[in-house]
This record gives sequence, C-alpha cells and structure tokens, in this order.
Amino acid sequence: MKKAGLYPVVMLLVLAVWTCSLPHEPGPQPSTIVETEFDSALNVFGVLRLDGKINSSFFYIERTYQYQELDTIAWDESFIPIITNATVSVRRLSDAKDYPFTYELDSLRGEIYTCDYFIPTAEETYALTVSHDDFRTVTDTTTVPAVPALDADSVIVWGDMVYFQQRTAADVYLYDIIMLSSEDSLQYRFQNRDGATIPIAFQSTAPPEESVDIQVYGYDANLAEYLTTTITLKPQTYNETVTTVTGGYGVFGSVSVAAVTVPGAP
Amino acid sequence: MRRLAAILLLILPMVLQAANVSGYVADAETGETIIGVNIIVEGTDNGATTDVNGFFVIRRLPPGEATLRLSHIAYSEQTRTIRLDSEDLFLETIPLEPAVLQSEAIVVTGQRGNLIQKDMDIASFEISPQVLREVPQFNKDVFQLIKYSPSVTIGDRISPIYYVRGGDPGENLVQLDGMTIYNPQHALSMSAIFNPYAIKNIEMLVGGFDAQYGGRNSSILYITSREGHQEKVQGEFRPSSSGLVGAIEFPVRDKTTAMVSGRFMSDLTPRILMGMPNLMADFNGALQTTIGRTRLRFSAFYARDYIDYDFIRLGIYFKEEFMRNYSTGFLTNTNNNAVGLQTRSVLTPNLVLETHLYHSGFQVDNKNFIKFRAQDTTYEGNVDVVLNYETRVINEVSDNTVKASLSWFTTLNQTVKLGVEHNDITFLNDAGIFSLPSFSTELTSTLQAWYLQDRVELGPLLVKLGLRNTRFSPEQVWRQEPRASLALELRGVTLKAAWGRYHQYVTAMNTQDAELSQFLDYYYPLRHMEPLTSIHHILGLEGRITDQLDYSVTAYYKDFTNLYRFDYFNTIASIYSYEAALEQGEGEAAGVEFMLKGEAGRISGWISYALSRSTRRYASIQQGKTFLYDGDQTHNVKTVLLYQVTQDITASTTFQLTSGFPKTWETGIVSHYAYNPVSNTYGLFPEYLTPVKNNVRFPPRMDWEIGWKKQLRGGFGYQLAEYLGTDQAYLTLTVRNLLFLRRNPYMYFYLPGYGYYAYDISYFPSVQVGYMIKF
Repeated sequence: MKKAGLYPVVMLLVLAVWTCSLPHEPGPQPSTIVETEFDSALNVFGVLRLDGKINSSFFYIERTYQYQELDTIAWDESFIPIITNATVSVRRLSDAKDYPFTYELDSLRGEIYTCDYFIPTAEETYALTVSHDDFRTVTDTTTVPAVPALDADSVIVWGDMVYFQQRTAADVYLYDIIMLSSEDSLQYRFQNRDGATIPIAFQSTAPPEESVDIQVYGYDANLAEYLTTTITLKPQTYNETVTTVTGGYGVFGSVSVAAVTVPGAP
Repeated sequence: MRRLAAILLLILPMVLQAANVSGYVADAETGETIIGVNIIVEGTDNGATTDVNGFFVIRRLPPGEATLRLSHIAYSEQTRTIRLDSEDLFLETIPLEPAVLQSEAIVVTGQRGNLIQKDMDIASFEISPQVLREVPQFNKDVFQLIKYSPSVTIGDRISPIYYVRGGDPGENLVQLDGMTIYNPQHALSMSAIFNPYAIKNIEMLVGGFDAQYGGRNSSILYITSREGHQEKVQGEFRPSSSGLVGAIEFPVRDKTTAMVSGRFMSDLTPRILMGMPNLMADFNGALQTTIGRTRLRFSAFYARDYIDYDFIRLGIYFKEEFMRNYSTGFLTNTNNNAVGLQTRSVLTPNLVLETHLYHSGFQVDNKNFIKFRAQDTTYEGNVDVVLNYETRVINEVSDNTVKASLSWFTTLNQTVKLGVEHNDITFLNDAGIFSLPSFSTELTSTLQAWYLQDRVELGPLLVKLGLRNTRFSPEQVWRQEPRASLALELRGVTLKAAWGRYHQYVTAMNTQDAELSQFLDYYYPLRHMEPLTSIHHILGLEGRITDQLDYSVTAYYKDFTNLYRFDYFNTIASIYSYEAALEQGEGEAAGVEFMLKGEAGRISGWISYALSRSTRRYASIQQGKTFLYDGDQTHNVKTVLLYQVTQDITASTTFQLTSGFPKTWETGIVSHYAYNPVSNTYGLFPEYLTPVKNNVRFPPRMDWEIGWKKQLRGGFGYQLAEYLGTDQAYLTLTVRNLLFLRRNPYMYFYLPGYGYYAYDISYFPSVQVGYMIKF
C-alpha cells in the first residue's frame, strides 16, 4: 500500500522535471488553433484641416510590421517603419481637381506629406489615394465639416470660470473644446447630439488675468470614430483594429477649427 | 387534457391528507440545526432527511405508535417514540448528541443514507465543510474549494473570476443565507469575504436549479452560516504575519444565540518592500432567536478592500533608467455590505412560511494604469514622449429585497413551494480612459418574481417541476422560466435529468483586456433589452462503487440563446450610451464530467475529469464567425486527497492539470495614431494586430499543493492554548506551487533578440506555517 501510494508522487515529480523550464528560458509556448497570417499593409494618418492656413493638412504613413522585425531595432537603431516614398493624392470630387502631397521632413511633425497650396473647403468631399509599389493601394473619402459656430460675445469669464454655449452642427461628429490661458490648458470632448446647444463651463485653477483663448475643433465621421477608439496595451488580447480606410490601416479625416480670444477676468 | 392532469396533481393531495410528522433536528450542545440527518420510521421504508434548515417532514404515518431512528455520521444514533392520532404532529426540536468519529478517514461527502441520493439536487457540488477545515491549502476559504469542482474553470492566477460550464463570470450567483452578495471575494486573491469560521454549509449548483433560484444563469453558490452556541462561549483565534482572524459564538439568553467574526489582513511583504498600502477586512455578525414556532435570524456583514500597487516603487531597487520611467499598477477601493432579517415559521406541521428582508450593497472604484516616459531626440525640441494609459471603473449596486415563500408538505410525498420576490436595485456605472471625462449613469430597476415549485416522490422516482415568472421594470412583460428535473433510483444507481430556461437581467462588463487583471464583476442592468437567456440540458448517472465510494457522470449542453458583449473598450467608445456598447450574441457549451468521491481506508477525497467545449458568436467579431470562448478548457483533471496519518495528523494534497485557455496571438504591430488639435501634431502607440480571436491555446496549466495539519498535544503551542483556557491547538503547514519549475504562463512578452517569453506569476514555491487555537 505504501509503495502504491508513492507511484502518483513519483509520476508527478517526473512530470514536473520533464516539463520544467528555468526562469531564464522562454518557457512553454502556445499551440496553434487557427493559422493566422501577418497582413503587410500601409498605415495612414491623414488630416485635412480647415483653419485658414496652408500646409495645415498633412499625411503620415507607416507600414505594419512583425515582432521579429523588432529584433532589428536591438541591433540597428535606424529601423523605423516609416514610408517616405509613397504617392499621395487628394482629389476634390466636386471638380475632380487633384492635389499631390509630397514627402518632407517637418521640424515639428517629422516625416510627413504636405501640399503647400492646398486649403480644404467646408462641406466639400475629398478622395484619398495612397499608392506604393510594395503594398496595396489605400483609398478613402472625407467630407470637411462646416466651421464650428463660435461667438466671442457669448463667452463669459467670471472669476475662475469660463462659460459659453456651443451650438452643434449635423456634419460634425465630435467636438474638442479647448480653453487656453496663461494659467491653464483645459479640454472638453463630446459627441454630437443632434444639433443641440451644449453649455460649456471651464474652471481654471486661478482667475485668468490676461486673455483667454477658446478653440473649437469639429471632426468629421472618420476622425470622430478613430479618435474615440481605444486600444489595449495588454498582449494576447483581441482588439478589433479600427480603420476607416480601404486597402490598409489608419484614418483619413478632416477637422474644422474656430477660435476666439476674449479678455481675462475683470 | 394537460391542464386537467395538472389540476388533479395539485388537488389530489388535499383530498388524501393524512398524518404527517415534522420537526427540526439540532446539535444537543450548540443548538445548531443539523443538515442531512436521516430519520427512518422503524419497520417501514418511510423516512426523511433534514434539509438545509435542519427541518424534516415524514409523510403518511398511520395512527398509533411509531419509532423514529435518527442517524448522522457525526452524531450518536438516537430513537424517539411518538404517538400519533389522525392529526399532523410537529415535534419542535430533536437534539442529537455529537459522537466521536469512528471513520478512519476524513469524510468528504457529507451524510450518506438511504434517502440522501434521492434528495440531492441535480448537478450540485456538495462537499462537507470539514474538508475546508482539514485541508490547509484551502485556507478555510470557499473560493479555494470550488476551484476543485469539475464544473469550474479559473481565470488567470491572480484573479478570483471563475467560469462555470462555459458561462460568463457575471452569471454566477453567490448567496449568503439567501442574500445576494455582489463580488463576494477579496481583490487579488481567491478569498471569499466571508470568514470561513462562520460557514455552516456550502452548496454549489452548477445547473438545473429549482424555480426558487433566479437572477443568474450559470451557477448558484449557496452559503449557510452558523447559528451560534446555546450553552457556552466558543470560537477561534488565528494570528499570522498577515493579520488577525477571530470568531466567537455565544448564548444571549434562552433560545437566542449570536456569532461575531472578523478578519483584518494586510500583506506585510509588499507593504515593507514596496511601501504598498493594502488592507482587506471583513466582519460577520448573526443573531438568532426562536419565538414559538418561528425562528428569526438577523445577519449582517461588511467587507472592505484597499490596495494601492505601483510597480515604480520597485524602481528604488534598480539602477536602470527604465525602471524610473516605467510604471504600471492599480488602485482598488471596494466596499461590500449586507444586512437582513429572515424568519421561518412552522404554521402547521405541513406548512412553513419563510420571509426575508435584506439590503445588499457594493461599491468599487478601480483604477489601472501604465505610465511610460521617454525622451524623443529625433526632431527639434527634444520632446518627452509620455504615455499615460489609465482606465477607471466605478460601479455601485444597491439591492433592497423582500421575499416570501410558503412550503406545503402534503401526505403524498409532494412538496409545493410558492414564492414571491421584489427587488429594487440601483446601479451606478462610470467608466473612463486616459484623462478624458468619463460618463456616469445611475439607473434604478425593479425585479419582480413569483415561482411555483412542485416536488413529487413516487417510489424510486423523484420529479421536480417548477415555473418562475420574472419582470424587470420599466418593462411590463412577464417572462416565464420553466424548469424540470427528475431522479430515478434503480438498484443503487440514480439516473438524473434536468432541463430549464433561465433569464438574467444584469450583465457584467468584461475588462480583462483593459485592466492588468480583472478582479471584479462590474454590473449593468438590461433595461428595455432582452435578458441574458440560457437553456440547460443535463443528464447524469450516480451510484456507489463501495459503501464509501461514490461515482458520478454528468453530461450537459447549454444553449446561450441571448448573450451580451459589454467590454470596456466598447463602453468607452460609446461615451453617452452604455446601452449602445452592448452587443447581442449567442453561444453554446457542452461537456462531460466524471467524478469519484469518497473514502478508501485512511484516504479520502475526490478525483474528477471534465471534457468540455464552449463557443461564442458576435456579429462584430470576425463577421459573426464562431470562436472558442475565453473560458474554454478542453481537459480538466482535479483531485483533492486527504490522508489520516494519525488521529491528530491529516496530510492532504491538491492537484490540477487543465488545458490552457484560448488566447489571441498577435500577428504584428500597427501604430494607432493620436491627434493633438492645438499643435496639429500626431502621436502614436503600438497596437497589436489581432485579426483572429482566440487563435492559439496557452500551454496546459498544472498546480500541485500539499498540506499538513496537526493537533498539538504538548509543547509551547499547546501550553499557550492551555494558558488561554483551551486545549485545542493546531499547527498547519502548506506548500504551494510545488511545480514551480513548470511555468503556467499568464502572458507572453516579446523580447527583441530573445523571442516570446512566457511570463508567470510565481517562480518559487511558497511555504506557510499557521497556528490556530479553538476555544
């Protein structure tokens, strides 16, 4: 009986030693249920920005990459998956006019594509084409939202509070309201609520003594969806990759900007 | 025709009323009622077994003298002679004297007798609480014990979340003396918020529930607490390096007893090494009294968790710059409370009225974060890149419930139970990410239910039919939940079958992909929506190999006809409507479970094997294709063995070998962009490309633990106990993670130039020594 009782113990010990892995070893690896291929594609971040300035609209393009390519980083710091030789073209659909965006190294935004004579028009629809010899062509369209209505006279600065009302428009899907003063930088984000007027109230850490800048950003449907998408940083968890473009990853959207400056607290 | 048959079934017992005998059976010393006492009328096959309240009803006794023989493995056998006329008789309370156990082994299966097999619920996992006391690995904790049920699969090793037969974790109901408890476990551990000392009985139903149970679709963990001591002060005290545990029960006055218990724990190691504040506390109290034929029970408990974990506090031990620029952690703050008043009145020997009024509340504020700072020297300005990923979930539940039921024990071995319930439940939900404002919503709903449960014994056949009707406001629709089960005993083998439809009106948010580890269920009401719906089909076989060894085989199929995906990221994306974040889906689960349980010589325990498969379908995931459920484990071997070395020493071992969980393996990386509208610049975070959900299975998981418990008869420990006025002192030794060289991966990190590294929680065995005195 005693010998018989030892068998399970011995078997477990043998099993433990047989399957063990020391802390410095990679350890047991998972088994495949479904073979899943890596999708090598372009990953675009494109913004058409209506703020009255040229060169505000830009594109940044990367490619997807595999973990194993990270090994390169360990030995070669020059590995960066940025695409600098793509052909980027934006077409205004109303008159079929094409705007080529070309690569440049911007001091603030790094390696981007810009067009130094392009200014988007509100409520116009633009089509994007990004082509590259090694990847599928990426396409998408965006309709530039109307410039948000913002009336400087409606802004009230009272002590450490700043009040105003924001009227929403049907073609704007997401708003970012920014209040900038010498004391603070505050942000409020909200989704469109069917043309309702939204009361906005910012509370500063101290009454703004000088001027107060109010900036309102209205995003189209593509950017609204992409910017409200969150990602997980936890490995081995399923996350549907949100993309608004066809043929690759990323987003092509537009944003309209309104800004006013009002005096600080009396 | 069917209606006529149903009416006849209900009316017939009234016509054929004869004399019934009912009463309670209680411990002669403590006064506590005893579950599972067999009462046989000598010279007949007639008898009964006491239920969870220690109550029994023997039917159809002819007028005249009868002798009742009462037996229970832990008590001396007793006979009692009664004289009956044609009237029903209520015997009040029959006391039983505790006996010295004669069994060589620790009994794990509870009481055995001629009637016990028929009375057992279908698909239950019922284990003697003595197992909790004798196996130190369980740390006297009910959640440690249920890990060893073949129907249960456990999430990652640092989470108390559990799955039952392929159901979602939020579908498990835990009730303490009938009060629904929300999130009844301490954060970061598989530790229940109930002091184990306070527990009298544990029953876990994993399917085929009676109509009296509702509100959750997967499992019911029904915990009955102790009732106090009627003659003397009794209790236990357990000091340890991690805190204090104490319990005391005592008589208040005649027929009134009370119990108070508490635990106050703080893990000193992280507190000292990392300056990590952590606190876990729980307190239970109960007062019970008997007035005439009515038993009143007032119970209350309070639990609190506070843990502030920040990995960067470990940075002081490392020189690397990386350790000062990277941090991850969480701040969890929970509060759990309940208070209730229960009554149980024997109106007539055949009629029992039960009422229950309680409040159960739960609040959590849980933050998880990852912070990373790096200097970007690529472009002008040397801008610091700061990633500050933070999730925050606030969830509050306030449940005010009143319920009542009437049980009628007819003379035809039929028991009819009619019950009503009214719950007013308020839910507060708030979820946010990064520093963006979160959206808070508070909703109040009313859940109303009434049910009818009929239980009929026809010779070797036991049939249970039930109907539960529920309504969740503001909807006015009543939904039906029919349930049926039967048990047929033939030549020592019992065939069991059950079928039932179940509705659940709350769902729980899945944050496993967002938080470092999901400790809790975050509840949300399904107003104006179809409830979660499951249909259970169960077929089982039970019998005995020897007098002391039972076997069971159970097959099940669960059809989840309506499920919801309520995950954290969906919720955040739908800033102004949680309901918009809910996605309807469906799923299935099927499996076969084998279990061998009992005693053989000095060895006792159980060994089980389960083969199962569980799947889900949601339109937004891979165009509605079926995928393996997160809690799916194909194979599952579990064993708990106790060896009675001597009368004073018990050795035990617990072992689990299970398939790994299906997980999503990333194929590559795609940058996810952020946009700063003020500076018109972008930022990017690496996001995993995961085109197929659950495309790999993690390696099998293995756990082996051993324990040793010794009653001290001499030495310092015994003398200390004597000094404190008791002679019961125990020493326990537990060794966990014996297979520490066999890694059970929690997740994999890709290390450049190295490959995928399997990350486990613990790399070393853990040894714990405990001391306990009972008084």
